[in-house]
Amino acid sequence: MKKILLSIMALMVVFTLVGCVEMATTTTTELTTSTTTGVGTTTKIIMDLPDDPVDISFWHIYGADKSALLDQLIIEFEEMYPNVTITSTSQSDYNTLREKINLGISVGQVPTMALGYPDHFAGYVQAGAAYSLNNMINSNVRYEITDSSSSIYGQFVDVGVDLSDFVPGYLAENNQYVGGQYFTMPYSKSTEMMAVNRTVLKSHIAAIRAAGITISDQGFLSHTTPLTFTQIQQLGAIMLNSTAVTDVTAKKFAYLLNYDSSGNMFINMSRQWKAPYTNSAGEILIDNPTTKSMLNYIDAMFKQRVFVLPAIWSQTYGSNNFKYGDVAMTVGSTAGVLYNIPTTKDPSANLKFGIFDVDFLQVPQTATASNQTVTLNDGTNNYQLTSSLSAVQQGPNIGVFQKASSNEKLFAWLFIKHLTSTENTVRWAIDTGYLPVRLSAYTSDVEVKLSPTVSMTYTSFMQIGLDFWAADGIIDWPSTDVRRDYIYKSMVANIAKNQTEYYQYDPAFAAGSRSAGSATVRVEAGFCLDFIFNKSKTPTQALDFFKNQVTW
Amino acid sequence: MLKKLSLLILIVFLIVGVIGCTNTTSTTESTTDTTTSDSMVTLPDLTGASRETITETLEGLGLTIKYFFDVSKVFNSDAEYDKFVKYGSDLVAGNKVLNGSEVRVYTTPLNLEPIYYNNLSAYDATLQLIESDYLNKEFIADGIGVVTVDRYVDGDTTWFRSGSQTFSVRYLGIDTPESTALYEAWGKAAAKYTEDKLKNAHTIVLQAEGERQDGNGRYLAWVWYRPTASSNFILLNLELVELAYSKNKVSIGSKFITILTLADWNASMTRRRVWGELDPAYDYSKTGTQMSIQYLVENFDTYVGLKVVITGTITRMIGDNIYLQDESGFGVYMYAGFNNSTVLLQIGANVTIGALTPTYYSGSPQLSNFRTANLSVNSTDNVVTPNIITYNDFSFNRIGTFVTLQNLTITYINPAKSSVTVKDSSNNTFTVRIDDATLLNADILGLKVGDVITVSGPLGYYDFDFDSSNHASYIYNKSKFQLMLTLATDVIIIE
Repeated sequence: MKKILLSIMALMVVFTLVGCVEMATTTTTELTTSTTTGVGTTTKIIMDLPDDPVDISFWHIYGADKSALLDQLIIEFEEMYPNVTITSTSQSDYNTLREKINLGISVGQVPTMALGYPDHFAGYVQAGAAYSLNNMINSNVRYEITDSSSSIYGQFVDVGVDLSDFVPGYLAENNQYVGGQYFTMPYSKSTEMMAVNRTVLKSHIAAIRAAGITISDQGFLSHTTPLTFTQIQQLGAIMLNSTAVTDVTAKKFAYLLNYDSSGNMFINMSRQWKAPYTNSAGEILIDNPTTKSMLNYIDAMFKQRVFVLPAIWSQTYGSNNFKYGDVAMTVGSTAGVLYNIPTTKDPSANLKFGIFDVDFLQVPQTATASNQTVTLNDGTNNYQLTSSLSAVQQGPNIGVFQKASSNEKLFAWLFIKHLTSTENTVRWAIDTGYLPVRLSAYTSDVEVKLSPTVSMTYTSFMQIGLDFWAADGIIDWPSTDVRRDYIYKSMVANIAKNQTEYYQYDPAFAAGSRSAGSATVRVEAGFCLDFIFNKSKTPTQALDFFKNQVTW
Repeated sequence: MLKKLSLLILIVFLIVGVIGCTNTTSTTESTTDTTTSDSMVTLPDLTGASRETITETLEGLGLTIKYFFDVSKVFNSDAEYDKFVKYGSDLVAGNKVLNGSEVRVYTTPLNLEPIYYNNLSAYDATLQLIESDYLNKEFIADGIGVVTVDRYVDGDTTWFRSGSQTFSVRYLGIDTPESTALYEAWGKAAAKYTEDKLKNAHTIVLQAEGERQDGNGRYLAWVWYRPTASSNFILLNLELVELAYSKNKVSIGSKFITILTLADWNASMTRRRVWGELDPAYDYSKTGTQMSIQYLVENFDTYVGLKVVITGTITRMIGDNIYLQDESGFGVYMYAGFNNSTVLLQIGANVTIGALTPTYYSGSPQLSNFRTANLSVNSTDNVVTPNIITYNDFSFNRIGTFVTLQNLTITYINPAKSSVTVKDSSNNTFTVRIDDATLLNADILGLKVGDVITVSGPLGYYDFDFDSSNHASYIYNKSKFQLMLTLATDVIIIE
């Protein structure tokens, strides 16, 4: 008798759970059993996977290089779920992607799923077009794969996901939408790092040590403790030429530190200075004394050639001019690491310092720890502030659109799980230079096949950079040792990992009745520094202009 | 009693559960039962119907439609576009579905219906280029001006000439698929389209907007042309987007952002060309056909644009680019492209590389599309001995092979010290090339005019005016062969 009552109770639980969550249903869906898995009380509802044909359209922006692996991941997913066809389409760039989705929303034609930045999805959420992934994330449904043509035939697939395995900073960014809903999951994440000309740094060892900055015999600065802006200024005194021309003989540069993205520079330095910028409610907070001080300091650093923007060379990025010896250091995306390495592919006449050694550091900070009382001096003025460690976290997330059918949503979600599985986030990270979104990537012993004859785990990949640094750059690895191919990528991956603790994200919000959306605010933040840099506006004028552009 | 109570609870709960689930997606029910019912609709045979007809027919039956494309085959004529292919969800004509339900329909890609590039003034007259915009102006100096074509590269890059200056131009706002170092679907078609339009143009005008040059030193421009002296100028960048040879890549702030976005949207909705249609000239296989280097070289034109798997020993390198040779004595050059640097490519390594695409570069056959993911190293430290040849042996089949030429007299060294002109004992003249990427030059090697030298290296070929589309009729000129000097130890100064 107890068994009968237990059965009834079990069925009640099953039905309650299934009925409360919008699930993909088909005429073939059956409830077969229920079970309790793991430690605790997690109940898994085992169901047959829908086997109706499902077409998923996926919009991204990847070119041939990255889409080769993406195509492979799609093939593997389709082998797991033979009833699913994924059509992936590159929309060239994020601007086009967002514009086309906005156009699509207005005419009711959107893809099943797409990549996008948080501010893109903030707009889609506001338009009611994005689909909350919370039901999927928290689902306790487990599907049994009964299609014998599937590559995972006979296995079980959980719909839900353990969020505790994702990098917390990425989750926070994806969880910022209304009601704490996840409309996206982290996918191709990157941060900023600083490339430095180690060969020239090494030639100034005595002066750098005299300034109290720790540097190894081979010119390596600390990879765990960031440089402060005060130290950056000290390096400027040592490594800057007296005119805006690089002096190769004296090993002195025209400029010291390039920032690829003036938008990121404004936003991240605001965080480092604890200067209010925006908040998730869409309020624009830039009109404050700390921001004004920060802009005055940046203006002074521009004028002293300590800071520079790529516009000085009519470029969008500073990597070429870093290679050409016009600037000693450059802050840019971790995904662009190889663009900073001079090689024989570069015109030798342009390489003022030839093919030099490159090291990678964390981005500079106001202090080496948060909540320190700091005084920055620009040579004339003292600026008092309280420090806050901050590094930009950037890169797109991935989400699903509301217009998709239940089955499309289900398989789009399973595809997101596939892309972000521990193994695949490692494959993606090593192949593309983006960063793993899962913490387990750093400890996983799964070997990723990089070519028919080369495989490695992410741990061993990370160890390459650590070994290189531990040997002070003097390695006796054979010239054909494949680890040599991954030295730079590994160094940057380690730098990124060291910055993980102080990732901060830019609150995403759509345009409101009185102010612009976060995407526009970011663009205008960059323009603000551009105006100061090209001397077309004073810091006060640039800030006023910025304010007028984003509030009304 | 308890059993009955339990059963009652179960039944009640099941009813509640079913009612509670009514907000889940309803699925289309199908049946081949021939009995009629007001609530059921018989799917008609729509073979050959266009979307317009399909929509009209099915909506007339009270159905809603969800369209999908079938791009699983190559389409050879315009008549094949915009045609019904099949119903989705395993439905076929004659099946009955619920009235009001959603039906999936697959069609072929749609016809392109450009509306902007060939009538730009009608959309926005302020965007249209007119003669007064460029008269008495020069592109390099003024940002706008008339040019002529110097050399075609691919769909979005062309070398132009303005006065005495020759320069490379990357087209603004677009990004056609690659067709040189990398080889992508629709890349060759886009390149050919651009070339056809410019070849037949009466006037070509370049117009700058924003940054003048990209990171590779190429000028950035909007490319206008007019087919006749009296016709309106056509914006080629827009035309390529509208005809689905390129996706839109316009920058924020451009005056063409709106029109390019709309053109891109319209083209993408057709699923034509770069939007998903199969390129009949592209090899979609993941690995390619395995063959010897000799077979490849002797049948090169057959495999241009396709994918091959090649095994050989690396004889020499220029930067990351390699010369491969197998036991047949035939050799071939492989261009590694950017960001594919690997220590596994070393002189003496015997390697197998898949998914390489044979193509021509200035007359020289080469393999492109290299990715480290397709590289296997079979062995290392192999030695390949160069064949001693003479000028008279220069031929297409020798390009890429590792050879030695003896007793050459240096007659000229260029100012950059990268090109050494030599003559043999019969006064045949050709070039010994020292590429920048070798980090060598004539001075470093101690070469002087009048020296007599013996040089080993891969045999190359370079003809600036080579036109790959006319390769079948192209005659290789011995004076354009080059000996690639890549190692200091490969040259011996005899006297």
